[in-house]
Amino acid sequence: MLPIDIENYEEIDIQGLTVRIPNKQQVTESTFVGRKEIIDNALIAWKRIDCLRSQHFRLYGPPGMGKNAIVYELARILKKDLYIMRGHQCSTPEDMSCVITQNRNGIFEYVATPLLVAMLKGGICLFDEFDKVREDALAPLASVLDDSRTIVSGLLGTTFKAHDDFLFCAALNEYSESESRVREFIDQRTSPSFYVGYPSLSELEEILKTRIPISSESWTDIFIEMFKNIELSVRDAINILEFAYKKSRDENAKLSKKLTEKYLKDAFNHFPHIKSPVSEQTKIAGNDNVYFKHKTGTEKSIH
Amino acid sequence: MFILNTKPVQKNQYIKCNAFENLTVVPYMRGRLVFAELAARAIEEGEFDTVVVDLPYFMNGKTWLDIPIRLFPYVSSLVLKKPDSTLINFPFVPNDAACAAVAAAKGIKDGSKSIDIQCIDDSNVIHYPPDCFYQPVIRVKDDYFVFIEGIENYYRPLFSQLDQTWQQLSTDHRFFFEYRAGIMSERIKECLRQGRNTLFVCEYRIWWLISKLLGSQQSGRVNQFYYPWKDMSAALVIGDPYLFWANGMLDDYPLIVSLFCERLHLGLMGSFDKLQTIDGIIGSMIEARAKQGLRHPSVRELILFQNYFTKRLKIKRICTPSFLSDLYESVSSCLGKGFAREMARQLLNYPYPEKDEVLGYFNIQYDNVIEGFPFGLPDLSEIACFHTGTTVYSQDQFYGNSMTSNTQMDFVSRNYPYINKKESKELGETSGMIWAVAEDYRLHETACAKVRNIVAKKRHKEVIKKSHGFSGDGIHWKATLAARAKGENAIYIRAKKEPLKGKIAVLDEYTPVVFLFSNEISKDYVQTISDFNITQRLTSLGEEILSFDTLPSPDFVYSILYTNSARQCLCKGHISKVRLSSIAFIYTRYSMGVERYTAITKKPEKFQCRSLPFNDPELKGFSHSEIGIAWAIKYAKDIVLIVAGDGWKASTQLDSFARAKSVSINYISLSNFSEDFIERLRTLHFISTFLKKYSNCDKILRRFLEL
Repeated sequence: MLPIDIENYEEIDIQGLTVRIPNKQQVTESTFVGRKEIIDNALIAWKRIDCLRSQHFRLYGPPGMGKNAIVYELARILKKDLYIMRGHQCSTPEDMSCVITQNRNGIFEYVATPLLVAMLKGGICLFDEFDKVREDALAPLASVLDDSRTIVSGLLGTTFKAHDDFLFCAALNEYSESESRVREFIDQRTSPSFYVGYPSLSELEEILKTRIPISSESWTDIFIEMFKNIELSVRDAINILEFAYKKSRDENAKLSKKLTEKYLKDAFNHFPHIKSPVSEQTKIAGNDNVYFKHKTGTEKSIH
Repeated sequence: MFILNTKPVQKNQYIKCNAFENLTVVPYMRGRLVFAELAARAIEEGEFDTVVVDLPYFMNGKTWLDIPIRLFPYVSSLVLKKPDSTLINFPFVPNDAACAAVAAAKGIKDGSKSIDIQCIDDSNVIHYPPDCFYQPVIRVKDDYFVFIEGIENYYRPLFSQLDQTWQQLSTDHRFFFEYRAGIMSERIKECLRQGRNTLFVCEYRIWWLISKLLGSQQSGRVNQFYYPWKDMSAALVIGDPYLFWANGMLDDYPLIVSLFCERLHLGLMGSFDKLQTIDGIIGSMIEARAKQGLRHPSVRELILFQNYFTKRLKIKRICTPSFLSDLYESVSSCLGKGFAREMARQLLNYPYPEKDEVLGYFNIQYDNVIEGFPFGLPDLSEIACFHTGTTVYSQDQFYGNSMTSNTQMDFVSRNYPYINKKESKELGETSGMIWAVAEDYRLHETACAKVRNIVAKKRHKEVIKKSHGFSGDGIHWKATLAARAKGENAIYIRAKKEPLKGKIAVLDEYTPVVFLFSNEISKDYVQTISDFNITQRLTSLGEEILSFDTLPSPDFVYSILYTNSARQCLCKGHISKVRLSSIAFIYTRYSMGVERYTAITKKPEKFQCRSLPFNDPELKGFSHSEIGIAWAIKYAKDIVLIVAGDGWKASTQLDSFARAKSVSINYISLSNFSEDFIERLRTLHFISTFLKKYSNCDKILRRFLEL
């Protein structure tokens, strides 16, 4: 169990027990660009119209695509408090509602989870790394996410009902979404599911220009031109560009297009997990050596 | 009922012209099925002597119009070559109200009653100056509202928009618009003077101006201008329905247009409704899957879907869901990608022509069409449309529908397996070696990695024990509080139980994994997949090798063994799809080709398979259901992972063989994987050598692969 700094947490009284409640996530005011369709879909899912209630949903996709950023933006749009719950393999059913931790004075205190606080206060709960949690640990969520909207806390010995305005969403990686049936009972309770994939080039360009307001726009243009054939996550793109730019500033380089490309290429080499596109030669021969002359079409010169 | 429309609908909608009591009008939006339905209904149910449509006057010639109309549901284009050699495209689609009206009238004409058909648009429209075709973009509501609000109420705000934009048009534009409307209104009056009960089917922008001219008895500049006609060459070309759909010419759902066409031919418009038909198709799909015992949406999923889908439609204030952004997106989000893809395939289904591309060359005269001479035709998507003067088919912008033609074409490619005519011509022979597909291998790697993960987790069981200062994997509060309650001053923690050292088998990409999907394998085929070195690979691909000096001798190893009962051929035999009953891997990374061969041959030779399993004397005696496992045991180091249905147990023969090889067998249940994932895993694809080397291979594969 990770240590939690609870000194600044608010205290509430639940049936005679003092329970600390974590602070909401700080959501800074910033310009969010792109992903309009996903945000619109998420807002539709959460909306209440006539007798149609709000629905929980989940976001899935490769890492670094901005799943959390989307939820932050939703919180900004709806002007609601956001609480983030992070899943991990050691989570237990008790960890869903309330945990016990030790304060600086060595005294054990009850601490409500972000999920419980969001339920009580009518905020948004983002359950991040949802797929890392074991099935049995997720069992208490079944009642949170269906019509009863309640959670049972064994430690506190009571059942809590969610505020009418409580909203829930989960974030998980792409492969867990497709391969696993372990959490089917949760999957159905967190539908619809929205895929957050690789952004288009124009969207990526917009994001980079907003997130990294480098005075020279040519950095972004050169970046887009250089990496247009590579699938880059938003996080990787931002990190490559930032690293390259900071290095050039550090070396006080007088930049030309060629030098900018060099810095970007060097930065890219520090990200070995990103796959370069496969050349036509490699597709056929399996490597980059020249052994043959293409029979189909015109003769190719391959290097 | 998924597409809920609780408002009452009134199907018979048309406008009675105040100026002429024997004139009934159905104004339409170009290419919109709802109006085609209105026009067809009016003809079926009304007692009309004449049907007047806003098709060009030259189409009146004898029976020329029969050719494209009788082709329906096949779509076609009349490609007109102007004297200055520019080309104009006039599409014929059954969802266009004018075309549908002609088809309905011809249907009745062929029966007992005679209905006269008149095309009254100015033939010279094609020669008008290009600037005069500019049409203001009109924001329009979902066309289904015409049944709910009534046709006059539906068009009222649109006519107001036209009133407002009229003065913004250039003088020339207004001139030609009035001129054209004037010609058409004179021709209508001519029909009406004969006292015939007339139905006029006309695009709503033109009707807006014609109604003013009819009402005011003006002639609309007809006498102010004379434009000499110039004969033109033309070709009637059969069209690609998916290109038509991507360009907004085939309404929202190709299948619905095809079903509409069937009703049109049978004269059964009375029972047709676009939304109910879409709804019925989704419902039938779910029923069919349930009857076949396939996984189908649960009641909870259907309720979730309906909830989300209905909210979408209500927020956007539409009755007709957009195919991609509403229906497909909602089904994919709530009912799964597999179901969404199957639904998309059904709704995209449209008759695809096998015939020659050009049906005939013609010479277009002012009021007639006669046979003509051939001329060169470019890609039709680059030709301007007759009615807008641009490559855009219609300037009516529907709320909430912002899909571009590229997006729609990409959607077809991803969901509907077909090859276009160009690809069909270019794809050559299917003989020769067949090749595995990268997407399948990526899936195999994911599945095998998950299997290893499950086995690894099982090895480390969690125990609860008293802490002696160590925090382990966290305090177990229940045990701690229970201990305190008993008076024991102790903290209990969670810890992993480590298995005894020296007995742990390494789990990596060389750990064989076997999936058994079915118990009925005894009569299935046993097949293998091999990985070549560079020389063998180039030879198999049919490449001309420049020099053998630098190359090793040809060699290959087997890394996958599978059993299957059936093989399906797709894409003219260039893609085959195999449904597996089992599959065994002795190397589980997704790399292919020479890279895969290199990785396998790094290991000692005893772990490399170079002989066919059914020829291997060591593996003789094993049944088809066990040969994959036996083969994996033979080439394993110390452990084999088996994924099978609940209750699977190794036979005595397998156990003995494994013991003799000092290999342990670890079993995991198939229920650890979702049914969709298993379905995908037990599908293997192969492509021909020709397709492998074809430039558009990836695009074609995406249409046919179950991703």
